[in-house]
Amino acid sequence: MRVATGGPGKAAEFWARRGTIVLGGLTVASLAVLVVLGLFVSDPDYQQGDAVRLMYLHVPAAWIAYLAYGVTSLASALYLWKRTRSPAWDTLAGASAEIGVLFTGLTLVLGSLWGRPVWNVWWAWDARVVSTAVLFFLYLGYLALRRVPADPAVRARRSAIAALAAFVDVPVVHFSVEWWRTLHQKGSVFNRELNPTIQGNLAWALLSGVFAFTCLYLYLLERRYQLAVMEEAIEERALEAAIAERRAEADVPPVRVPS
Amino acid sequence: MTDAGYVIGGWTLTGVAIAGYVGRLWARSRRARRFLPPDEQGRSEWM
Repeated sequence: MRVATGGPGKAAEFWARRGTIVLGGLTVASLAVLVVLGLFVSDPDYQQGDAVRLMYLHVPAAWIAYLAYGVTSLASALYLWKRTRSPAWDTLAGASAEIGVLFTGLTLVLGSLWGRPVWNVWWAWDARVVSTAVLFFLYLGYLALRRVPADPAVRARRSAIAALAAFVDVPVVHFSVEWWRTLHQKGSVFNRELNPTIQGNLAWALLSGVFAFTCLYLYLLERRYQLAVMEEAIEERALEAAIAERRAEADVPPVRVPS
Repeated sequence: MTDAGYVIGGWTLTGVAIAGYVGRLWARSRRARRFLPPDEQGRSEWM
């Protein structure tokens, strides 16, 4: 076992590294538990049959999309606030949004695959479905905006504003089933009015899905953030090299042409 | 298609999407490490 040496910075680095390894292991284990519970242990629903097994992926994917955009918005707000402004918040916002887009895409596709056997349609012009698709394209646009070449501070500022503007759609997605008449069901697990009862092994499969996807999100976020830090360092080095090259060119004395 | 077909399709697609994203991150991290000295690589190792 390696021992942390070299002061608090090194110790923090050591424990952060350990934390990443533990989180990676927990993610793999919890995903394995989800596969076993979701595909083999949980019973078919009395109305939906086996199609209910898509819920164990669709609902956690939607939860991760909310969480990822929440983190993006919080990091963007912290970037915009002068007292907490740091490029690290911008990097975190971008990393989280990318994962959010992945999980929003999965939510839409899984919802479509679930809708076909249950609603008998692949797609419905339903408030929940449409507002989720809008959310997907809003954050896809946010990621595109981040790739537009600009001064890093300018890019970070405009990206932060765009992230906060896009987040307005998150409550619209969430409350769409309350505000409009929709084909999509209302929230049921925590809905007191419905007083829902969800059978034990179905509930455990759903909870394990939420837990596994949360671990996966945290692990991916850490990995994506570290990658962004490295890519920013490479960009900086390339820029410094280009500047040094230009300076060297300027220092070369002009060639005298013999008359 | 039967219910099982939609379920298998959904689970397979999710697995492929997640594995694809993880693989892409891993490959990009590996490529980035080649351009940086060890002290600038941060916590870039995978497991």
